Amino acid sequence: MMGLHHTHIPRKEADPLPLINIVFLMLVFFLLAGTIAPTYELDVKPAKAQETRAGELRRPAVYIARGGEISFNQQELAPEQLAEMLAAANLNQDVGLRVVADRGADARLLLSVLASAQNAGISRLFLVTLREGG
Amino acid sequence: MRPLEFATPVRRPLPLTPLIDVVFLLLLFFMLASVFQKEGEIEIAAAGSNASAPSTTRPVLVRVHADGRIDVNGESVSADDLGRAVATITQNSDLLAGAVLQIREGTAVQRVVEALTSLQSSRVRPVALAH
Repeated sequence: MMGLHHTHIPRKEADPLPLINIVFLMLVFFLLAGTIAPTYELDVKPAKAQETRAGELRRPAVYIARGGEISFNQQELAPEQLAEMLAAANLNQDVGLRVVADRGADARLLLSVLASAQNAGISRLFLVTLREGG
Repeated sequence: MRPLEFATPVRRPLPLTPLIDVVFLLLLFFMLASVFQKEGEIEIAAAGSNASAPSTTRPVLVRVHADGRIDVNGESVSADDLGRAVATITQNSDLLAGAVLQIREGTAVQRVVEALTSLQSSRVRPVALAH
C-alpha cells in the first residue's frame, strides 16, 4: 500500500502590479476630481444653492456658526466688536468680504455683519454657499 | 597582456514596497482631504446702503418667515415661485424695481439663500436685506 503522499504546492508570490495599477488610478481620480477642502475657522456648514457663481477664495472671511458665534482673523468676536476689527484689518475695498454663515444660523446675524462691514467702509459682501456636484 | 574585462552589473528587481507605501499614503491623504462640493457665492447688500443714488422706484417687499413661508406684498408664495412672482410685479409697474427681503426673527440662513437664488434666477435686481 502506498503511503499518503503530500504533494508540495509551490507558493507563487502575489503579483503587486495590478494592485499598484488600481491604487494609482484611484490616486489620479482623487487628484483630478476632488479639491482640497477649504478650512473654516468655526464649524460652519454653508447653505446649499445650485445656481451661484464660483466662490472667490482670496477674499478675507467672516464666519458665523450655527450658535451665532462670529469669528474673523482667527478670533472669536462679539457682534459689536466686528466693525472695529474690520476697520483695524484695513482691508482692500475692491476685494470685498466673504461671509461664511452656517445654513442654520439666524439670518439676522447677516444684517449685523452687513452693518458692521458698512461701518468699516467695506461695501461688497459675498455670502458663501455650497454647490453640490459641480 | 590580459584582455579588458567588463564587470557585468547585476540587475536587481526594483523594490516596489516603498513605492506602494508612498502611493497609499498619498491616496489616503487625497481621499480624506478632498471635497466634491464647490463653493459659490451670492452678493448681499443691506437695504438703504445705496443711498447715494436716489431713485424714483421702490423695491417689492418680500418677507421671509422662520417657518419657511415667504410673502410677496402679503401674498404667500413658495421659494421656487418667488423670483417669477416678483419679476411679474416689477415688469408690470414703472414704480417698482428690485426687492427687499425682510428677514423675520429666527429665520435660518438657508431660507434666505433660497429666496436670494430664486430672485437671482429671475433677474430681479437689486435685492437688499432688511430687518
